[in-house]
Amino acid sequence: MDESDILKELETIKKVAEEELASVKDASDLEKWSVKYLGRKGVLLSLTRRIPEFPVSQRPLIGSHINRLKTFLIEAHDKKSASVIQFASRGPDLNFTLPGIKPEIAHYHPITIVARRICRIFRALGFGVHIGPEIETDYYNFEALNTPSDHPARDMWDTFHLDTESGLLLRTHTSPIQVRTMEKIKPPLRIVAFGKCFRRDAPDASHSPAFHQIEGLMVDEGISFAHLKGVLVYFLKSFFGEDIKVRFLPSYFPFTEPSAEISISCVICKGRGCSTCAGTGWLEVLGAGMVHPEVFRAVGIDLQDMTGFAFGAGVERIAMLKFGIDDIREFFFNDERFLSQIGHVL
Amino acid sequence: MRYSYQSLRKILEGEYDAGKLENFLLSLGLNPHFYQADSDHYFELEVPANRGDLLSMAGLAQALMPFGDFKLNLPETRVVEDSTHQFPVEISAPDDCCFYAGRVVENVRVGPSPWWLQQEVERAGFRSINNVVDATNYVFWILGQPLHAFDLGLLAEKIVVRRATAGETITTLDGVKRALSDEVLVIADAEKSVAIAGIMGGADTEVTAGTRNLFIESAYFNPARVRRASKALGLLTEASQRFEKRADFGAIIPALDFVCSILKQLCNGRIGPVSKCGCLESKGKVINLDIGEVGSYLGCPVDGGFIVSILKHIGCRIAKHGDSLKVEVPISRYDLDRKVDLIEEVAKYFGYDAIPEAMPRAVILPTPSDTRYERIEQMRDCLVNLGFSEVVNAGFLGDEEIAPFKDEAVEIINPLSRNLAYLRPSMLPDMLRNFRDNLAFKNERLAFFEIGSIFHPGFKEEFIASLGVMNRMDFYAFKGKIETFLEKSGIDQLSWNLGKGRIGMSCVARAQDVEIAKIAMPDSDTLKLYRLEDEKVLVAEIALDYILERNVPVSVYRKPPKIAPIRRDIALIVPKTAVWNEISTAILDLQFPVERISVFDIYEGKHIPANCTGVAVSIFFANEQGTLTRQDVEVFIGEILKALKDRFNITLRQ
Repeated sequence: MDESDILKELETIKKVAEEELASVKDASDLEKWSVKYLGRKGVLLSLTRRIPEFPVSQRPLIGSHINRLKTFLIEAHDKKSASVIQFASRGPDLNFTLPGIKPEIAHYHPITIVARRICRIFRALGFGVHIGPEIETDYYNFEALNTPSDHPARDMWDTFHLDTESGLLLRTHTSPIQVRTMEKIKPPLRIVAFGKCFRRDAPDASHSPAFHQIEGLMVDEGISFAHLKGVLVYFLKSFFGEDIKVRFLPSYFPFTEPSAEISISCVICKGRGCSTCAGTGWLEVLGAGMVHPEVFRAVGIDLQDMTGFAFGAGVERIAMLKFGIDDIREFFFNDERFLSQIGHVL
Repeated sequence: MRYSYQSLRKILEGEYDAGKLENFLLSLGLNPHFYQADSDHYFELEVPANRGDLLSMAGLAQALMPFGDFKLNLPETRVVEDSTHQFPVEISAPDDCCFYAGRVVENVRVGPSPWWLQQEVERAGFRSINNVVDATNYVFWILGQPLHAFDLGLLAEKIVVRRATAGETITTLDGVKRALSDEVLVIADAEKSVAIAGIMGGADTEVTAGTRNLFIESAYFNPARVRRASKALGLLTEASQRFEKRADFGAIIPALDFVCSILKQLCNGRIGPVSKCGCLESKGKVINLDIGEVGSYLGCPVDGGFIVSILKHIGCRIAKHGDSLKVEVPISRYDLDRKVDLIEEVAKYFGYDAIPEAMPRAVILPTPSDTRYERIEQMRDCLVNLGFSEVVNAGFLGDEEIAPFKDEAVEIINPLSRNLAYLRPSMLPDMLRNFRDNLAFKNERLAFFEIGSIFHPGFKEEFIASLGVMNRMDFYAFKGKIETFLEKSGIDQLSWNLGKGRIGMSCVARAQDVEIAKIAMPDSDTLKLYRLEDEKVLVAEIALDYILERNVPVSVYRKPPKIAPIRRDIALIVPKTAVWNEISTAILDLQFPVERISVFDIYEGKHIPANCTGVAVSIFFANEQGTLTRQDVEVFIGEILKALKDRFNITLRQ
């Protein structure tokens, strides 16, 4: 082979490579082309390896022709490459703008979410969580809580009765759990109790015959009303935010003395007055008080130095205020669109 | 009860206006509701069950005394007797009525009330009727003691306070004829009952325009008796509500005298001496209180002088010896029974907002949580992780929903409605109703669970979980999730069998003969009831009590084998009569070095005979030496297939 043959061959390679490059459509075609001509086992290198076959005098000229071809191929490749990449961003295999397919994730019920949040705050203060039966005896639901039969205070809880003879009923509050726990664990103690309760209230936007309560009890030496205030203000600010105001007013429960009704500044109107707070600027959220000596007596606790406070709240009411839910019946309707909305804020 | 600001001003003199009054009442926790009408401010209060004393204008005035430099200006109640006519009274039910008194008022002329009395009675919210009735209502409003006036001419011989006899009836003032039971206390004369004690008078002895002589009753009726009778008769009156909260011993005679003095003034009636039966306590309880105790109970120092002043203003008499007080409470304040009651009273006037907030100091000894609660919460987490969303239901069922469970239903004595008449013996109706309600809003693919109580005859409560899927997964996927839940709960060694279900065919899992879980395929009637005919619905219940009663399973790490196993996948055609537990046991019984067997696909339908199921199984082989070869495994598989064919007629899918 002499000089003119090789020059002709180089011409042909250049032409074919150009044609092939013209038909390259995507990055992978370009990659293949690049391997074929510029790769380690590519056309260009195999030409270079053939240089020693030629007489020494011809070698520089052939070398420079091969180099020129190389420059040409690299430039052609880079030019094409820019257009191939542009092409890719215009229309690839995937449309990155389409939404991903959402997994079908599961949700906790808002009552669980709120109850857990409340429990978490109290657990950090050393309170243990306790539960109890939904069917209760008259004794645990009323008598042990200083509410003997025929006491007019019983009108505070319209009760579902199951058996007149044995006095079985559906618990009207979680307070029986306090009594049952104090029978088992002697003070000092700190507990919160959580569960479903029942009252014979016809359902409407703010009443449900079934609802959930969470309540707490702390008994120790020297517990005072100031401690009740301290712990409950801490709880309410942790739950509703540091910027709320808390108001304590006298109230009446047979099982606490003094008793208090606790309101927070309206979370909707910030205390200016709106329909949620009936124009008062305040929302009642907790009932509380110092444990009545009769309750301690019923569970056999010696009053010597021990005093305690107790409090209770409706979980649905707290959830309604926290999330802006306006109808308590939604909690028991279980619409997927309701469950999934609150579910993500665990 | 309705209160009037204008009338209160006559009794409580001092510097205050309606706005200040509202604040006083709010700070006492009485949640006042004010409204303006006829140039007066009226208000209603939420009076607690133990504060009957507040159900009168005078009682309210007394409670407001500590708020300022006020003067209590109670009406003169004394009456001058000018007749000797007495009417005999006796009590034959002393437990229900410890004191009964009355006076005869002769020669009255019944007619319209004078303007001032009409106005006062209307302020109290009563309708003016005639001078006699208005006078009793007015005194009731001012002093809180319910009174009743009989037409003396219609009473036979004497008054007897007794229980009604069965079958007795009375027509009350509202014109209703009422059947009485022995739960009801009545006022009777020698012949008949003439009033339901403490609740309502009888029509037969009503004061009318023609009445000339009156007998006016003022008495103390046992609160529980009045409450029971009022409930039994379904008759709630202002008087019954007052008696339920214990009438004021101290107001019985003053109220009687006061009403008689008004009647004397209005219609020149002649007043006879008091006839009475029984006796009255006349002194309030004495409670010892140390000044320091108030401060330590409330958590801040409270000045001794303040405490004494508050207690005096609400009507207590106090003997002070250094720091200890002997407090005699007013007879009307039976709610003041012990030390803490006095402390609460002081706290109310001190102001709850004035008590500081303090965090308690306690030994770092957390109270443990109920382990049941902890485990239930973990189960909740597990079910959410398995892809089920949590629902919560009230737990009441109606007649239609209860039908399949009727024989094990617990009925509520006083349900709100027939739709909420039973406690749920199963959670499945709730689950199906939740699906129905969601379907109405096109929420068509669902996986739900609920954890809660169901109820059985004998008022037994059982703690369970229910699960349900709609158009979300097939039977085997659903079962797999339940099995995973049970495994995580420490339950393995389950046997699954066909069982009876109340709402359709069911599949029951037992562990040591105890029913642990039940998957139900609702039948067409059930699906129709819940309008789910066109949906793929599966529901299940899991007995959580059984799991919770067992010890918490302890996790022990088992080091996985170092030798990589050889896996063989085989597709089997398994007759539906074959039992999986027996199949897997049969494979293991061949004693080949099988590390594990796992089912990775189950299919029915196309290419599989109708009486069979296609089951794709991976079998992993490994021995400790790691010397297994592919040829060894081929031999094992051959032997396994032969055994399965011989014993269960299982074939390899071609």
